Amino acid sequence: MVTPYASFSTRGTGDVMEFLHALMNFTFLQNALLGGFLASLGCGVIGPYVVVKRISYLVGGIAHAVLGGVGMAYYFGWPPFGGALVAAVLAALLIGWVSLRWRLQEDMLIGAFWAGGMAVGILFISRAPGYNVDLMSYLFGNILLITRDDLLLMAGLDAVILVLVLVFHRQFQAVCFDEQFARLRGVGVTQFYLLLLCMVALTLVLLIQVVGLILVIALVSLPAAVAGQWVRSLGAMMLLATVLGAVVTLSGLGLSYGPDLPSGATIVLVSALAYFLSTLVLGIRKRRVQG
Amino acid sequence: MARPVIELTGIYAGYGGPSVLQDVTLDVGAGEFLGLVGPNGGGKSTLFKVILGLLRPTRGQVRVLGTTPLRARRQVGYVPQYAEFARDFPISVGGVVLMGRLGQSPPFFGYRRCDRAIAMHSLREVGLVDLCERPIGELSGGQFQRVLIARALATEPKILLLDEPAANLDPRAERDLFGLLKKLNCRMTILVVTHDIAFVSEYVTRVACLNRELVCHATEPLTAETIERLYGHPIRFVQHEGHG
Ligand SMILES: Nc1ncnc2c1ncn2[C@@H]1O[C@H](COP(=O)(O)OP(=O)(O)OP(=O)(O)O)[C@@H](O)[C@H]1O
Ligand SMILES: [Mg+2]
Repeated sequence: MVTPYASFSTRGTGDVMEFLHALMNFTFLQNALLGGFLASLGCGVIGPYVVVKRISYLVGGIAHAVLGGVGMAYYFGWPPFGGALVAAVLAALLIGWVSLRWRLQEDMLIGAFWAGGMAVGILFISRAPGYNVDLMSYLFGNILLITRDDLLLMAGLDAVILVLVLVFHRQFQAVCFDEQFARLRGVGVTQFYLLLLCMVALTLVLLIQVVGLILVIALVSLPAAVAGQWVRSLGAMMLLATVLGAVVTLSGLGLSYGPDLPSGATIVLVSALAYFLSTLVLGIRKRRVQG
Repeated sequence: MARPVIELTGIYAGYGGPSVLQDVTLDVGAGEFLGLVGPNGGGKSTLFKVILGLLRPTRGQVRVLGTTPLRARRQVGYVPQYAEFARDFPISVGGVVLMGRLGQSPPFFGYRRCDRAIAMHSLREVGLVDLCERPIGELSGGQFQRVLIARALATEPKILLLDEPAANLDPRAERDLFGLLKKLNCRMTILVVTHDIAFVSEYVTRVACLNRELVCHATEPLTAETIERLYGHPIRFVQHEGHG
C-alpha cells in the first residue's frame, strides 16, 4: 500500500445504499464509524472549552508538537501510539506553562512549539528504519484502519475525559470564564488550566486516528463553534457538539466511500461546510430581525 | 478593642515601575463602611488588589482577618471595576452568580441545593431575579454591574470590596445599591471605591482619600479643603435629587 490514505478495496459508484450495504458487511467500516463516534464524544466535550477560552491556536501547537513524539517513538522503536500520548501530555503541560508564564509572547512561543515539534518529528522519522507510509497516516489519519484495540483505547480516553468533566466542570467553567475570580474563590487556576490542556491532549490523540494531526484543530473546534452559535450554555454546547461531530463523521465517511476520497479530509471539509452554513443561516435570521 | 479585619502597615506596591502606593497605613475595623475616594490613577484599585493578595506589596505588611490575604481570600467578596471576561460567553445570569459559591461548596461535582438558594437570594437582593435565565451577553451595563455585585454577595463574604460599583447605575439604582450595602453592613465590613463623594458621605462610616499615599482618613465629613488637596482643584458638590 503506497497511497498515504487508507483505500477502500472495492471502488463503487458512490451511492448511499452501497455505503450502507458495505457498513453492514465490513468490520473495518463498523470500526471506523465507532471510532468516529468515540472521537466525536471526546472532542464534543472538550471542544466547547477550547472555543470559549479561545485557545485553538494553542491546541494546534500541541497537535503539531505531538508529531515530535511520534517521530521519536519510531526512531527508538517505542509503540508510536504511546509516543503520541506521552508527547501530547508533555506538550500540553509545557505549552500551558509557557502561555501562563509569558502571556504576552504567547503567540510566538506557541508558533515555535508548532514548527519545532513538527521539525523534530520529521527529522526523527527520516532517520527511522522503515519510514514512510505510517508518517502520512499520522498526518492525515486512517480511520479505516482502526482496530479493536484502538477502539478500546479510545473508549478508555473518553471515559477519563468524561469523568474529569463531570467531577470538575464548575472549576473548568470558572477558569475559562474569569480566571481572576476563580483564583479569588480559591480555585487552583494553574492546575485546572493545565489539567484542561492535558484533556485537550487526550482528545487530540483520540482524533489522530480519525483525521490526522494536521486536521485535528478543525474537528475539535468546528462542531463546538457551530453549537455555540445556537445554544447558550456550556453543557448544551457539549451535547450539540457531540451530536454534530457524530453526524459530520458519519456523512464524511459516507461521502468519501464511493469516490475513494481521503476520509479524514472529507470529514473536516464537511464540518467546515456545516460551520459556514450555520453562520450563514444565523446571519440571515439576524438580518430579518433587524429588518 | 477587637482586632481590625484589615491591617495595612507601611505598604508600598506597584507594577514594576515607580511605586503606585506609597507608605499606606490603614486599619479597617469589623463592621466599618469605608468609602475610598481619590483621583484617577490614585491607586484605589491597586489597594484592593493588595488586600486580595493579587498584588504583593514591595514593602510593608498586609493582614486580612488576622491572616495573610491568600488565606483570607475566600472570605472576601470582590466586585471588580471592569469585568475581565468575554461578554459572549455561553452562560446565564444565574450561572454567573452561582460561581460565587465555588469556594464555599465542596469541590466535586455540581452545586448543592443550598448554593442555588443563596445565589437566588443574592439575585433578589440586587433586584435581578427576573433575569436569572438571561444570557450574560444580553444585559445592559447597569444590569451587568448588578450581576457582578450579586456574584460577590453569593460568596457570603465577611469583607466586601466594591470598585466603583455605581459607575453604570442610574441614580435610583445607585440609591438602591447603597441602601442595600447599608443593610449588608450589619453583617459584613464594606469598602467601596467611588467618585461620588457627596453622595457616599451619607452612607459610609468613614472616608479614606488615596492619592498614591493616604491623604486622610476622616471620621468627620469631608471638608472642601481636603478634597481640594486630594484632587488638586476645587470640586463642586453635586446634589442628588431626592436627597438634599
Ligand atoms: N496592570 C497594571 N500594570 C501597570 N501599571 C498599572 C496597572 N494597573 C494600574 N497601573 C498604574 O497604577 C496606577 C494606579 O492605578 P489604579 O488602577 O490603582 O488607579 P485607580 O485609583 O483605581 O484609578 P481609577 O479611578 O481610574 O480607577 C496608575 O498610574 C496606573 O497607570
Ligand atoms: Mg480603579
